[in-house]
Amino acid sequence: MKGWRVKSRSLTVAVALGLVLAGCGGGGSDDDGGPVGEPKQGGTLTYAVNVETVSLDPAFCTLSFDRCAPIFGTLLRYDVDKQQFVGQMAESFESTDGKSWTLKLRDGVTFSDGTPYDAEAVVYNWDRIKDPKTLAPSARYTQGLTWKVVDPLTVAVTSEVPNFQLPWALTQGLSTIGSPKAIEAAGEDIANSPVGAGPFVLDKWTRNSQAEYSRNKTYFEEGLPYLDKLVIKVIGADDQRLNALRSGEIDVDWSLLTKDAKAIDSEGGYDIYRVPLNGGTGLQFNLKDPVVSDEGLRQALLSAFDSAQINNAVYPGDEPVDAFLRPDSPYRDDALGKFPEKDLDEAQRLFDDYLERTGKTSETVTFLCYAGIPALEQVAQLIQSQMSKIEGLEFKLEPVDGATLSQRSTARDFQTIMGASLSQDMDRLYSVFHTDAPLNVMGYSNPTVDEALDTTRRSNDPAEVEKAYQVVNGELSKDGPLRNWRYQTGHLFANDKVQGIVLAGTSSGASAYWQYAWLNE
Amino acid sequence: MNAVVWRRRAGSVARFFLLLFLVTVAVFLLLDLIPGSPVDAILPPEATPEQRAAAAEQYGLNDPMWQRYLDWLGGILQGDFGRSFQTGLSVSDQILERAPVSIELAVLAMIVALAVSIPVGVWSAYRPGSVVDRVSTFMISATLATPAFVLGILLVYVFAVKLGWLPVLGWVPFSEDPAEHIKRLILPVLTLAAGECVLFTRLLKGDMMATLQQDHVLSARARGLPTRSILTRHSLRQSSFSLVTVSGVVIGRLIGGTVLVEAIFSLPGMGTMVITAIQSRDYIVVQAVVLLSAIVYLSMNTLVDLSYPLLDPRVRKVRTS
Repeated sequence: MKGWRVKSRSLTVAVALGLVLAGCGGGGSDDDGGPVGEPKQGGTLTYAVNVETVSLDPAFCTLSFDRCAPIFGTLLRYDVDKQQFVGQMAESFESTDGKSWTLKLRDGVTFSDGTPYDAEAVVYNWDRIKDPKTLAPSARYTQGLTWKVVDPLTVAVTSEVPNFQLPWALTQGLSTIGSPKAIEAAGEDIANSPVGAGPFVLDKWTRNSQAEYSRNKTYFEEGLPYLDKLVIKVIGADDQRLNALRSGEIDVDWSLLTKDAKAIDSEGGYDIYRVPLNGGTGLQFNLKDPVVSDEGLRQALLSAFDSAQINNAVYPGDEPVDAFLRPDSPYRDDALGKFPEKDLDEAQRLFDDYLERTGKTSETVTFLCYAGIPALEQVAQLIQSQMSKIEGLEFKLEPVDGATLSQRSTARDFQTIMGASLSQDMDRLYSVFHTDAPLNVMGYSNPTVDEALDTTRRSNDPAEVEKAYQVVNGELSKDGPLRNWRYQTGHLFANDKVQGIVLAGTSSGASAYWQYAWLNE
Repeated sequence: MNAVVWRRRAGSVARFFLLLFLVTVAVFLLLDLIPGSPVDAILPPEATPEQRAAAAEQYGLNDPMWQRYLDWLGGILQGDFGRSFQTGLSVSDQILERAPVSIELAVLAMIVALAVSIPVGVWSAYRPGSVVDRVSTFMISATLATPAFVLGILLVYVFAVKLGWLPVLGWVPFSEDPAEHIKRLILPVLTLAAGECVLFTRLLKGDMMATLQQDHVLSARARGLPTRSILTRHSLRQSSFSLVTVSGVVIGRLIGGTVLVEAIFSLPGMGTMVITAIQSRDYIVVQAVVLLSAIVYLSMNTLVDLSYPLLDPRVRKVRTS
């Protein structure tokens, strides 16, 4: 039996560099001595994910990296090994002041329909994303940005305020560039007719079953991709994806479950790749609510919270959560703050103090949670039982479907809610926790956090940025606007014939740049 | 056929259309009943105010509700369910593409369920306590205690992972590879049929046991008619009343409700389409699928209602009297 290998890549150590290096990285090196032999051409790799994407319109690709990156590539890529951005479809993205950026494109790159992948094409795609009528989910990345074509291979981008984290946008929401000619020709059918310049072209898409790709013969990186074909299947059930991997139906499985990683580990014959995500899933407070905005009450709830119990019961194998960021994050400085430890006596004391201050004899707090997802229902019940240990507090569950939860979250129509902040990039914290941020549904406002988050964008000094994120983590852990019970880790499980996986992180877990993967058959 | 029979049939059809109208209203209100604005249901949380305004304009959400209902209904009457909020695809085209998968799955599951449950139900009623009866009772209890998703994964584990006889999941169109198409349908059909087998067997067994005690059956036995004739010609037809009623409802439910099995086996049917639509807040698609499921339900119920007199002439007599 072949021993298993954990190939871990931390994406939490990203410090954006203003200077983006040119050139593309090759296949990722292995922790255990590297790939087996020289890369081989040919073969079909089958990869399974858990949900279908709704659209392959390049303006919607922020929701579906897995399906879009093979077709469109990405302008930039975050190289986990080098811990810096590298050019992918683009050559470089540079700035000296964080406000004026220059995007340089590669000469001679064409879309698979033969039209040039040039500055006009980039600007066409970004204009389309910015146009409210497109309803593009990535429109928020364009806020505060303007751009113009300088020459066929150069786009000048101006940010209203200095932002050295801007390259993240070119790995995500603004990264996928489609052929303007194809977009115009497809009209309303653009969601199904993607034409890019990435390593693969889409041959067939059977929604909710699989998407089939073949090698893009005009891809600019010589010799890549190694694979002839890539098949991405949609298999919703975690157990079924594992069964498909075991039976050889798929070569690579996507997972968020540590227990499945352990199961696969014990069986042997698979490589396990990990992408630790920043943040996690947890109990989120509405700080504009007249009841839970009370600092004392909130601290009482946080003191009764027991993430270890939740993980033991629902996510066995996951590490305990004691601060917003995971223990191995370089942005952790525990001296700056951690979540309150579980202390029921302290919780009761704080709660009694709250009652005394407000002249109440009891209090009711409602927890808006998911209905119909067994694991999350179990978590909600565990939290309710933990909170019920505070005498005088009634902690009510209000289970709703996902869409309702999302809407009420946006409308800030909750007291406490099951929420999450997950990402591969630290800049997501700005969008979620800055006072004026678009995703700050909690109404959280802490001047220290705002100042630190501003520093993370304004500064081009990695040490200063690192320190600022440590401050953010400390404050978020002390204040607990989002008390996560779990640090989430994305996994890829690959059978041992799959080599050359170069990991990518997404907000939903792990993925890969499939042009570098090859089969050792 | 006299005027009373025709009046009753007309009544059934009128009820069908009245219920259909109420269903269209309820389905249309689906989007408006969701808390908050329908725009919130369509767009992601981080949508900009400009995007919200554009979405409201594009989808006519600024129009009064009655006008939107009439526009929507007018489109449906012309076979146009609108365009998906998320994919931009014609919902009618998507349904036409997906429905054959769900219908094939449901019909095959129905055939398998009936093919198993009718002989088992009849024999269990005829010979209570026999090996067939005891085995079927055990299987019924076991299946009742096993949710479909557990059964599906169990079947996969045994027949696909351990024995390697069948593929784990996936779909191959019949036109591409007929043998592979059938292989990939076996486990989903068995998973879907199992629950219905239990229902049909129990129903038929109960009705058959009652019928076998009736005078005309005892008389047939006394006259020395062959067992096969007694069980089929004299008992089964009369005992199939509940089975036919339930089968009608079940086929409606199966066509609209293969969600779980399609999800487990990654089949590109209407079930997985609606799951994706719900996850992506694509309510135009959800509305269309719910409406179609309701229409199938209502149609099957009406057909079953109209078929009773054909099965048992006594119904015709009772109703006309």
